[in-house]
Amino acid sequence: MIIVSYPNIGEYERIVYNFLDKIIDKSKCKILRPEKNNRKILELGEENSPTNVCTPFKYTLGSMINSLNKGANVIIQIGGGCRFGYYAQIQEKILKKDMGYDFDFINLYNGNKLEFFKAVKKAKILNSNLKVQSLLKEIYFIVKLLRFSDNIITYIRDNECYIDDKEHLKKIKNMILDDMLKIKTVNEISLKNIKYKKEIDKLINKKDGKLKIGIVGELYSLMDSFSSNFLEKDLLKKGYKVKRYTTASYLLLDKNKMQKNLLNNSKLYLKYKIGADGTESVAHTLELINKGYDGVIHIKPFGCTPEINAMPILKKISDDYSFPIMFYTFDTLNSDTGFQTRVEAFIDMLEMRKK
Amino acid sequence: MKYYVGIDIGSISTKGVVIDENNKIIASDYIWTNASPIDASKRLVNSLIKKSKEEWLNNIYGIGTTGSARKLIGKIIGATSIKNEITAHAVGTISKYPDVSTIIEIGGQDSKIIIIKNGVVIDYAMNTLCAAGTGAFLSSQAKRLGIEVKEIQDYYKRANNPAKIAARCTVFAESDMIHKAQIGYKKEDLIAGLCNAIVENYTNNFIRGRRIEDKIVFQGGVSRNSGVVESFKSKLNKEIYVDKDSHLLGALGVAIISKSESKGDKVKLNIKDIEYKIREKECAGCSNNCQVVYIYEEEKLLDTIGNRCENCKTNI
Repeated sequence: MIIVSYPNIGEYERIVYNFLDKIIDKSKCKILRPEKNNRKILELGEENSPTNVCTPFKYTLGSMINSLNKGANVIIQIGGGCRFGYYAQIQEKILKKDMGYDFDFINLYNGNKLEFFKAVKKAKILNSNLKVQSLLKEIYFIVKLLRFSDNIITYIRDNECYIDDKEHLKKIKNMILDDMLKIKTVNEISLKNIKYKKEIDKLINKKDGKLKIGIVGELYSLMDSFSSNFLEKDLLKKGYKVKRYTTASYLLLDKNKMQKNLLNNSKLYLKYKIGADGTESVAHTLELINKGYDGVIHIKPFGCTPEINAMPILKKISDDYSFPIMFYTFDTLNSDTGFQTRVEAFIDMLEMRKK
Repeated sequence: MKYYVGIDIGSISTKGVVIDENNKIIASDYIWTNASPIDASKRLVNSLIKKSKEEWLNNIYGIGTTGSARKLIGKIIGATSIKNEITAHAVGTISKYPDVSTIIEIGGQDSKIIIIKNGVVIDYAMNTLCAAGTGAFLSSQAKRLGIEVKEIQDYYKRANNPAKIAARCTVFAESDMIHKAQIGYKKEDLIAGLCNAIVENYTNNFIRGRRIEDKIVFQGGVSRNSGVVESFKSKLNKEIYVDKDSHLLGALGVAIISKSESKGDKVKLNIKDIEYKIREKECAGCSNNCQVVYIYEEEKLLDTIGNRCENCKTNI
C-alpha cells in the first residue's frame, strides 16, 4: 500500500488533500493528512535541522518526519522562492541519508521552476493509469478551489471587525474549511462562493473606525498561525481590522504578474527585486500607508534573508512617513510573553497616536 | 480620597507603589524577585500593607500589574488593570516629566527606548531574543568580581583608565573582561569598562538611526547605578534626568492606568498566604495547540494564561 503525505502550511493541506484524493488510485494508495503545526512537529524539525536554518524549514521537516513515523512512504514537497529553492533537496538528504528513512520523495520544483513533466512521471507512483489530460483537468479545478477559498477567507478577514455575531461567523468559517476538503466540481465552487458572500454580507452590521493594522513579511509565518504565535487571530479577536496580502493563490498564481507593478509602485525605495517576498513587504507597506492604515507589523523567521533586505527600507519608509512599523523575528522560542508585550505596546501606541 | 496600587513584577526585582488621586506616591517598596514572582508578590503586598495607614488600605479603587509576570500575578491578586511595561513606563514618566521626549529604560533582562512627542508615544524599541547589555549582566559580572551591585558606582568613580570591553554580546564581553583581568587591569577599570559596554550596547541597538532629543529620562533598575548614568552622559553629551523614584516609574505608570480604567468600585488589596501551583501544558482541546499555563490555588483551578478558547479548562 502506498501512503502519501506532504508538509503542512496553515489550512492549505485541505486543498492538497482534495487534489490528491481525485488523482490517486484508491485501491493501491491512500492519503495521510499532515497534522497541523504544533510543538511536537517543531521539536522534531529542530532536532534534525541545521541550527541556523529558518523556522519554516524546521516546521516542514518536522511535519514530514511526523508523517513518516506514522507510516507514510511517499512525500510530496514544493520548493520555490528564496533559499526555499533548495529546501526540498536538503530535506530529502536529511530524511534519507541522515535519518535513514526509505521513501519516495516527489519534489515539484527545481530551484524556482515547476518541473511539470517530471512531476507527472512521478505522479504515476500514485496512480499508474493517470492521464495527462485528466491531471490537467484536476489542476484546473484545484486552482479554482484555491482561488475560491483564498478569496472568501480574505473577504472574511477584511470584514471580521465589522461583524458582531462571531459565533455565526465561526460556523461559516468551519463550513468553508469543510468545503476545502469536500467540494468536487467547479460548479459547486461558484454556487458556494455566492452563498457564502451573501451570508457574510448579512452579518456585517457596522462600519466604525477601528484601528487598522497591516501584517507583512515572510510568507510561511504569515500564512501559518502557529508559527507566528497566532498574531493574526489574536488581532482579529481583539476587534482590529487586519490586512494581509500574502496568500497561497497570490504566491502561486499572481506573484509573477504583479512583480513589475509592485516595483513600479515602490520605485522611490526599490530599484530591483530583493528576493522572495521582500519586494512585497515594501510595496504592500506603501500601499497600506496610502490606504490610511494605522500601523504595520513586519514578521519574519530568524535568518530570513529577503526580509532582512526589506527591513532597512521599511525603517526608512517608517521615518519618511512617520508611520509606525513594528518588527518581530520568530525563532523556536517556547514562550510568547515577549511577543505579546511588544504587540500590546505597539497597539497602545497606535491608539494613543490616533487620539 | 481614592487610592490606587501599581505592582511591577520584573525579572530581577518586584516594585510596588500606592498613589493617591494626584498621582503622588504615598508608599512604595522594592524587593528582589529571586525568580519566584508569586513569592515576591506575596512579600511585596504584605510589606505594603504593613506600611499602610488605615485610610488608604480601605479606599483602594484600582490595582494594576505590569512587568513580565503581570498576567500571572494579575490573576492571582485580582488586578483591575494588566498592562505591558512599555506603556506603563511611558505613562509613569509622562506623569512626572510632561515634556519628556526620550525615555531610556534598562531593566533586569530587557532594555528599551521610548520616543515621545507632545505626550504621545510615537516610537519604541525593545531588545529582542537576547539580554546583552542589561542589568542581569551587570549583576552577574559584579558577582564574578566579588562585589555588590551597589558598589559598582563607587568603583566607577575611582577608575582612571577604563578597559575597553566588547559590547555586542554578553559572552564576548565576559571573555574580554577575563582577558583584561589576567593582563593586570585593576578592578575599577574593569568595572568602568563594563558600564561603558552597557551604554555602547544600548546606543548600538537603539540610538542608531534615531534622533535623541531633550529631555532624556533614564529609568529602570540600572539607572540607580550612577556609573552607567555618567557613562551615558559622556556618550550622548546631553543632560540626563534620573528621577529619585526612577526604579518605580513602571509601577507608578500602571497605578495611574488603573486609575483611568477604574470603574469606581472598591477593591481589596490582599494576597492569600496559600500555595499557588503552576503547570504548563500543551492543550489538546482543539487544533490551536495553545501552550497553556494553569494556575491552581491549592488544588482549585484559579485561571489559565495563554489559552485562545475555553476548551483547555474542561480538557485538562
